[in-house]
Amino acid sequence: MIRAPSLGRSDNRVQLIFRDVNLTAFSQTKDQHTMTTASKLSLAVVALFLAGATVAQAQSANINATATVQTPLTLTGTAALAFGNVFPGLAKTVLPTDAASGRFTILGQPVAEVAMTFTLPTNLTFGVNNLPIGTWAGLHNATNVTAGATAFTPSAAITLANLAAVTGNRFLFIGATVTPAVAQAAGAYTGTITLNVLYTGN
Amino acid sequence: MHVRRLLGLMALGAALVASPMDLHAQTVVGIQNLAFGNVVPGVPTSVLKTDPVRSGQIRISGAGFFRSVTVRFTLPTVMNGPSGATMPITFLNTDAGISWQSTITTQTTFDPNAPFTYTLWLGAGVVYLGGRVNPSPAQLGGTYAGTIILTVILN
Repeated sequence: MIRAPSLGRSDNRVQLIFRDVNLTAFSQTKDQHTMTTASKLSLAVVALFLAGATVAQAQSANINATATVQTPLTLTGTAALAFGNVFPGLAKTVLPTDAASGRFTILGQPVAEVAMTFTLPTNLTFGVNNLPIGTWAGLHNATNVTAGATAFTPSAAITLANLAAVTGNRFLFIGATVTPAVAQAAGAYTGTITLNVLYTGN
Repeated sequence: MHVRRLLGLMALGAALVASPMDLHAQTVVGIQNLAFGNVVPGVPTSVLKTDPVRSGQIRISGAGFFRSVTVRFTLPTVMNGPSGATMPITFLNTDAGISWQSTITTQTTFDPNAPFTYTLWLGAGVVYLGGRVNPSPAQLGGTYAGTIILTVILN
């Protein structure tokens, strides 16, 4: 007896499923028949399914990660803020435009924007003696001259500026006022001005 | 007669199995680099997988309807620059996405550091990738690059 095969679906493959396949063969003699179990045929069908197994397909593609790193910043202190001789009881001011003004040079990626901040002393010191300093004033420019420079107030707050288009420079000029007391002790007073500069990413 | 019919059905079944039912012209193509652009020394820079201009993008097509695929990235740990300089590059577990609609706004997020299985309902899709670089303050200026590989396996 032969049952009609059924269709099955697995992993996108169509299977013909044969169950209980028996073959009935009729001999030449009409009144005689022989039943033969088709086990060999079942095994052959299974072998065909195994031979048709699918191999996983894999493909690859590449892309790149890219970046352009800008020039690292270089800072140079090029001149001290020099008040020279100061007299007790008489305040003295050095303007950013004066030859005695403090000077810094910044070098980096042309056109890039930088954020400038200062750490400033409140006193110049001579031993245990303090000489008050304040009223800070500044100029910054793309070239090493004060003409046409941009005014700013040096402080811990950020001052933004763009480095020069071709050279990547920025020049800073710093002035301030010292206020000696009437009984200010004589001596050589000093202090430290610190400039901090970072790229903003703009 | 019954035997001949049975043998004929078996031949048909063998023919169906021998001709692969799932052979598709699957393609995987890189369509956009992961582009960090200008990077400032000392300033970490990130690109989101949803950035339409800078995110890395790879298109999958021809996988067949309702096809399950496994995607796997091979990612660099550094980018190479001038004079042998290198710059670290990293990928978070939320830096990759895949969309069967092929739109950047409909991504399913996955970890690019591990294989991910996904169904391409229409047999196609786009994989998106973000990342981040961390240049040192003294990072040597110049152009840096790294290679990203996406492997797609039909399940």
